[in-house]
Amino acid sequence: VTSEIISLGERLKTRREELGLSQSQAARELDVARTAYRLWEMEAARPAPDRWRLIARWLGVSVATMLLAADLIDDDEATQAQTIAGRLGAGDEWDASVDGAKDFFDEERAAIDRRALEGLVSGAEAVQLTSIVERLRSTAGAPRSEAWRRASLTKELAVEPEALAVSRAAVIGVASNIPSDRLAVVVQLTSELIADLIQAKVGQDLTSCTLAISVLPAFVRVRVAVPRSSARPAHPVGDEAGWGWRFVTQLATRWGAGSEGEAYIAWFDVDLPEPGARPALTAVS
Amino acid sequence: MLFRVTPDASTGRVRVDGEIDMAGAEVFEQQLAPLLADRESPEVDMSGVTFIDSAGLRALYRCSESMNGNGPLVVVNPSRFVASLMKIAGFDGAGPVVLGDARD
Repeated sequence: VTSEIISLGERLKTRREELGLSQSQAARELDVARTAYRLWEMEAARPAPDRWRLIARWLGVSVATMLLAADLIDDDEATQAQTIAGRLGAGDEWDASVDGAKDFFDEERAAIDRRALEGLVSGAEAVQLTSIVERLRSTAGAPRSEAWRRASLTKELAVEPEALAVSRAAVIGVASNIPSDRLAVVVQLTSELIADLIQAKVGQDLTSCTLAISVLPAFVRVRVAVPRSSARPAHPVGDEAGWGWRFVTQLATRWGAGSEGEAYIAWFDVDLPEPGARPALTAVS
Repeated sequence: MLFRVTPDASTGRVRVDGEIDMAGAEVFEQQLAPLLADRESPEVDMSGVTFIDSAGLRALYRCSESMNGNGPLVVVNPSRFVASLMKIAGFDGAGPVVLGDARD
């Protein structure tokens, strides 16, 4: 189970009180209207991207930590970003050296490209970070107060047929408040990923896997990980994929498979509609 | 077992209820295939199926191949979501398994 995350509103309030400031004074330090600041503390609104770096510095945390606190990225994305930053010896991979109210996303993309060219991050890491930035660009405006309830679960499963029903129950337990059409997709694809592992197990020393389910305001992410030494190479596309992976590639919003450190990972995301919007049906023509 | 396969004398169909996944796909096939073998126009009513994975659909496909030339095997009343899976798997065309009416 993932550790508890301190929300942005709570962090802001704690920091403000540490500094002995009123909301008006804190708002002035962060160069926003008092009303806007008050809404951030109440978690009824999230800061705009042009304030992210300033807020992170004021809180004394990395931008990745600030984005995690604001429900804009998930634990995995924050960990990826922090790990890469740690290896670079930089304080913050989200380029704390760049100041101000310029376009956060364009600057981050440029910084990632620059570091990839310099060989400071690998191509795969650059792709990971870029995909996080691009997703942030599309979700940054979503109002938090109406977002889907955040939840996550990490569970060890035996790679046995019984794990199929267990994985489906786990998804339903964690994501029961998302629209039913999206829940059906997440349940289906999770079960397919586990089934794929059970098939892959034949002739290999593969006993357990880690299932991680994260419900975030804008999407649900499911990751299944096994030790790399025990897994076969992925066949997410092509003739060997079978119907299970065909379902993943057609029903998930984003998906992938491959080695990550010492693990082999298969994952997918299913985007959630804006809360209050008419639920879209899973259309297959 | 998470599913049940029962012949319905009133409709002539075979009714399937429950969840069919890789863990039960082989038994599902063993139970369903004999019930379809001698029917000229075999129909499977899936209105009670709440989950079926790719292994379950593959079992359905194998049943259709063991129908002694009868067929196609028509799947009726699947949920909209199961119907969408069947379309992705290619069951909506002129193959041995075809999709009948879906329910809402």
